[in-house]
Amino acid sequence: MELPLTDKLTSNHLDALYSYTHFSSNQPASHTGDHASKPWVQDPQYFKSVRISPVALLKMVMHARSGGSLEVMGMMQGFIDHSTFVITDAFRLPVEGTETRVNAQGEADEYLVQYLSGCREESRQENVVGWYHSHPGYGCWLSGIDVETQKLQQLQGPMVAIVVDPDRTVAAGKVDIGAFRTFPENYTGQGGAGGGGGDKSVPLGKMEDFGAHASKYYALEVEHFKSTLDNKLLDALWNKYWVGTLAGNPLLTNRDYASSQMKDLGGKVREVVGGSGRQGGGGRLGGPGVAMGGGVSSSKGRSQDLEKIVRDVGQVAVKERAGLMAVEVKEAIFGGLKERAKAGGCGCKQE
Amino acid sequence: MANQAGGGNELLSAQKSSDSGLQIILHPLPILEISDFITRGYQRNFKGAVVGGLLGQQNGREITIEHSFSIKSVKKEGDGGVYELDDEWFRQRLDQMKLVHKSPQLDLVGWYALVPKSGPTVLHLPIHHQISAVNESAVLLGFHLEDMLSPTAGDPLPITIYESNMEAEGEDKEMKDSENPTNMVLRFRKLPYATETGEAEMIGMQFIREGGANASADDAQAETKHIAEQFEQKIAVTDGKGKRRAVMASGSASKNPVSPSKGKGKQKEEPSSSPPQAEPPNPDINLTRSESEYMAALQAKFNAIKMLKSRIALIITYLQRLPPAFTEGKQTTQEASDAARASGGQYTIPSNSILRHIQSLVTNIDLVTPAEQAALRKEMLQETNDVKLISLISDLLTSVTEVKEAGKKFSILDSSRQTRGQRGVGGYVGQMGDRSIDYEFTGTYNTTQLRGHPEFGATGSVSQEFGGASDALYNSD
Repeated sequence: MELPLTDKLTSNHLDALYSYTHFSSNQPASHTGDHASKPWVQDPQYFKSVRISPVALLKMVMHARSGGSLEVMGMMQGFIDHSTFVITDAFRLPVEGTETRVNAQGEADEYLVQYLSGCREESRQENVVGWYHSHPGYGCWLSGIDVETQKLQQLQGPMVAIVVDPDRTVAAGKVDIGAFRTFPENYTGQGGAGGGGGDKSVPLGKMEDFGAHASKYYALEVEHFKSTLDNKLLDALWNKYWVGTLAGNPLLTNRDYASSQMKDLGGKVREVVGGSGRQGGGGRLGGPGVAMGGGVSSSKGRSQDLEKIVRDVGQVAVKERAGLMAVEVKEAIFGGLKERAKAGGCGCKQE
Repeated sequence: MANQAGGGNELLSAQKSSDSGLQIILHPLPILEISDFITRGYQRNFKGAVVGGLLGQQNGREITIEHSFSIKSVKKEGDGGVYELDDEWFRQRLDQMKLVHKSPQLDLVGWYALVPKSGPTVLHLPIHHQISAVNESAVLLGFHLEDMLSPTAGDPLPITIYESNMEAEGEDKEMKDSENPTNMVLRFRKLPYATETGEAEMIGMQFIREGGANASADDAQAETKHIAEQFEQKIAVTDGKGKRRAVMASGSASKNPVSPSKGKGKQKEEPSSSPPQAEPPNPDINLTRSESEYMAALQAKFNAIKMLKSRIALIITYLQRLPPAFTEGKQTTQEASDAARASGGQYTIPSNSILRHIQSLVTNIDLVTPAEQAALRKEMLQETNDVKLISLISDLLTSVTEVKEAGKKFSILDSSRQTRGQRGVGGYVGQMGDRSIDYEFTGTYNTTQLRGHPEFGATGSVSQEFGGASDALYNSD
C-alpha cells in the first residue's frame, strides 16, 4: 500500500518540480506578506512562462473537450518558480458557459472552498495559481469578460489565466493552449500580441471582442514537463496506440474544421481585398508631390492582415497535406492486398 | 482447469480468470495520475498509502475507467496498521467529483492501489470493502511497482485489474453436507482490459510525450529545442536500423510512401537531413515550422509502420519455427507442444487458438480492400484534388503578398523619384545616370506597360521580387 523504499523510480534532479519544499522556501513568500512589494506587482510582465504537468494538461484538455461547444472552467494548483508558473494539478468547477457571466466565480466559490480544504487534509500543499477555461473553436485569447475576471484574480495574488481550444486541438492534432496575464489599468507597455495565439487567428465573429481588449494582456510561454516514471509509462502506452495512427483518416475527421477555416479565411480575404483595392488606387493617383505617409501606414495594417491570412492558409494546407499522406500510406499498405497475395503466392497452408 | 492463483496468494481466485463477462476499458489519464501521485509521493516523502478512486461509466458489461482522484487514507492503530479510507473525506470528494463530471455522468467504478505482482493482500481488504459499499462490482486497479523497477521486455503496462467475487471456500472439494454451510469469502480475479483513447486524449498524450522536457528545476528552454530534441530522438532510432527516411520535398504529396520494408534500396535523402547519430549540430533546425510539423507526422507514421512490421515479423517467425512434424500433420497439437517445449526454444509451441487467430487474420485481409474499387478511386481523386487546391491557394496567396510588397516598394520609389525629379531640373538625368539598371519582368503582370516609361528606374530588388513571385506561381502545380 505504501511506497516501497527505493530511489529507482524517481530522480531528485529530473523530477525536481514534483517536490514542494524545494520551492516554497525559494518563493518570495508569494501568498503571504506585503502585497505591494512583490516583484510581479512592480513589473507587470514579470512572469514569463508556464510549465504544466501531464496530469493537469490532460485534465484540462479533456474537460474542455467534454464541454462540447460550451465553455467550461476550472482552477489550477501549483507554485511559482521565479518567473515561471508551475502547474501541478487542475480541477473542474461546476460552472458552464462562463462567457456570459461577469463573475463566474460566484457560484463556484463554495465548491472551491470545500475542494481546497479537502486537498489540505490530504496534504496537498499547493495553492491555487490560476484558472483555466475553454474557447471551443475560436482560439486562445481573452475576451472582455475574461480580462475582467483575470484582473480580479490577479488582485488576490500571482495568478495566470489559461485558455484551451478543444476543437482546434483535435483538428490540428496539437494542443491549442495559451497562458495570459493582464496588465493593471493604465499600463502602457507592449503586449497585446498575446491575443490570437500567434498562429491561429480569430474568427470574424469574435474579432471585435478580441481587438477591443487585446492590448490589456500578454501571453506567457507554455511548456510541459513530465517525470521519469511518466516517460516509462508513456512508452508502454504508445505500444497500444500505433494502430490508431495507421488506421485513422485525418482528412475525414478534420473535414468540418478545415471547411470552416477556409470559409472564414475566404471572408477575411474578401475584406482585405476590398480595402486594399481602394488603397492601391489612392496610392497611384497621389503620386507626385503627395506625401506617401498616410497611404503607407494603413496599407501596413492591411498587409499585416494579409500576412496572417497567408500564414493561416499555409497551415491548413500543411494539415491537409499530412492528412492526404496518411490516406496514401494506408492505400499503399493495405490496398490491393488480395491481388498481391494471389500474385505473390504466399503459399499459406490451410490449417 | 488451469490454476490462476499465483505464488500462494490465497486471495486470488482458484478459478480461471476468463469470462466473467466484464469488459474493462482503461483510459490513459488514471495511469498518469497514479504516476503523478507516486512521483510526488517520493519527492515529498509521503508516508501514507497510495490509494485513490476510479471514475468511469458502467454500461452493462462494459466498464470504462476515465478519471481518477487520490483519496485520503488513515492508518488504523492496532490491527497491524491497516489502512482505511477517511470515510467522510471520501464521501465529500466523491460527491464533488460526481458534480463536475456530468457529461457524461461518471460514477465510482473502482479504486487503485499499489499491489504486488502476486496479487492483492489482506491489507487491501478493508478499503476494498469500503469501496464495495458504494459500488458492489468495484474493480481494483493494481499498480505493480516491481515492473517499473525491473521492466520486462515489450514494456507492458504495470497494471492488473482485479474484480472481486464472493466464492464458496474450497470449491474444488466435494459437495458439503448441509451441516457445514460453505463459507463465502472474497476472492480476486484478474480481468483482461483494453486501453482506449479519445482523440483529445491522444493529442494530449503526444504533446506530453514529445520533446525531452523533464521536470528539472533549471529547465527553461525555449520551444525550438523541443522540436530539435524530438528529431534527435526519433532520427537516432531510424539510424539504428540502418535505414533512412524517404523525406518528402515540401509541398508535394508523397509518391513513395511505402513502408521501409519495401523500399530498402530506394531511400531518397534530402541533403539537409542526413544525420548520423553522433553529429551534435542538428540539421533539422533549418526546417521551417510547417516542415517540422510535416516531418513529425511522417515520423509518427513511420514508427507505426515499423511497429506493424515487427508484429507481422513476429507472427511469421512463429509460423516458420513450428516443429516440422507438426506442420506436416504428423503430430497432434499436444504432442507437438510437448516436444517443442522439450526442444528448448528451437521450435515454437503450437497452440490451436493462436493458429486460429492467424487463420482468421489472413482471411480477414480480404475484407480490408473495399469492394467498390471504382468509387474508392474516384473519392481518392476528389480528396487529392481538394488538398492540392488548398495548397495552390496557399501558394497563390503567398505570391500575392510578395507582389503586394514589391508593388508597395515600387510605388514608394516611384513617388520619391517624381518628387526629386520636380525639384532638380537638370540633375535628374545625372542622378539617374549611374543607375540605369536593366530590369526584366519575367512575369505576366500588368506592369509591362511601365516598361516604356522614360522616368522609370527600379532597383534590382524590386524586379527580383516580381521575378520571384511569378516563379512561385509558375512552379506550383
